[in-house]
Amino acid sequence: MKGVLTLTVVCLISAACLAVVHHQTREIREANRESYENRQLRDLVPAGSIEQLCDKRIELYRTEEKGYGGTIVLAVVYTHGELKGVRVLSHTETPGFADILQPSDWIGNFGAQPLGHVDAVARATITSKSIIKAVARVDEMHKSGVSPCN
Amino acid sequence: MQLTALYETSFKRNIAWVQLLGLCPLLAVSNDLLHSMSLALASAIVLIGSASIVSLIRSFISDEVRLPVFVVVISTFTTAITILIESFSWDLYIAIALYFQIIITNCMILGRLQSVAIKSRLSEAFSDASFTALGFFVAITALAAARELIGLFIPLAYEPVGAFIIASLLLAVVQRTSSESRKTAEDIRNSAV
Repeated sequence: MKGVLTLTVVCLISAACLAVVHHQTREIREANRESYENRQLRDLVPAGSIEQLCDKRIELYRTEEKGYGGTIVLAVVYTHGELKGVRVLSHTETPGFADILQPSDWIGNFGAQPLGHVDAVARATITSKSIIKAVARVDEMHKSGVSPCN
Repeated sequence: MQLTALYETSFKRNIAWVQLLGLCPLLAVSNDLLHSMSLALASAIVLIGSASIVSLIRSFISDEVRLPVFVVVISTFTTAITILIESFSWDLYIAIALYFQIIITNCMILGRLQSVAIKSRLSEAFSDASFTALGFFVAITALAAARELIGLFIPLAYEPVGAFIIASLLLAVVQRTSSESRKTAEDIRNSAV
């Protein structure tokens, strides 16, 4: 009985501490994430809101897909109706295997090659297949006229 | 007295080189000196913090809930540290967030709570945790420094396989130079059995 009480109290205190830390730092973390996403996209699109990009005929889709280690958040960019490239905004894939997500690596093939020509990567099969699936899904949307600009 | 304890805990019974605990982050993060030092510091905060808390509340912890309480305390510290790093050192977070999160599973920390903090006064638990953390810091920075230095000439040292080779060479040197450490390791192993 004493054990149950101790564990309950410890859990409550722990939850309270984490809630405080989480709450106090939320704004900073969101700002960090936003500036990081902008940096990831810098070589693909100029800075600006989704609407400003649309004026320049740039369509920026955000999409999520389940990868190997959790959710992968992707940005899929079209300029003048053509696929320009794909960038990963956040992921929790295993370090090392996630190297294919660097713009200079495999993920750079999107936009450089036709969509059907981008193959999955042996050793990072699940990661690369999820990304191909997500991009194909966005491409379908794009073809059927669903756009962030409408 | 404290100096003897410092030498005993940090070097003679070094948590990594002699007791062979906490080797996962040791091998994984040591390709970069700065990353290793940050990870060692984060582990130190978690270890010292949890050891102090456990020592303070040790009379309330009954045997049945000992492990759950340890894990809750350790993971609270680890999660808080990870959130703080995400807030104030984003680049570090992006580079090695995973290794901060798995500090929870570092057996070095659970081991010290189990063998010292649960049955010691705050001051003893605190100094044991600090000295152990210092030992881990020394071990991981030594490995990272060796890998960065050797990597200038032999790029293999940056690769995971380089970590294994250099770590085992360092380990061999440590074991050879202090003939006593082998005996200590045996004692620890025997007492664990």
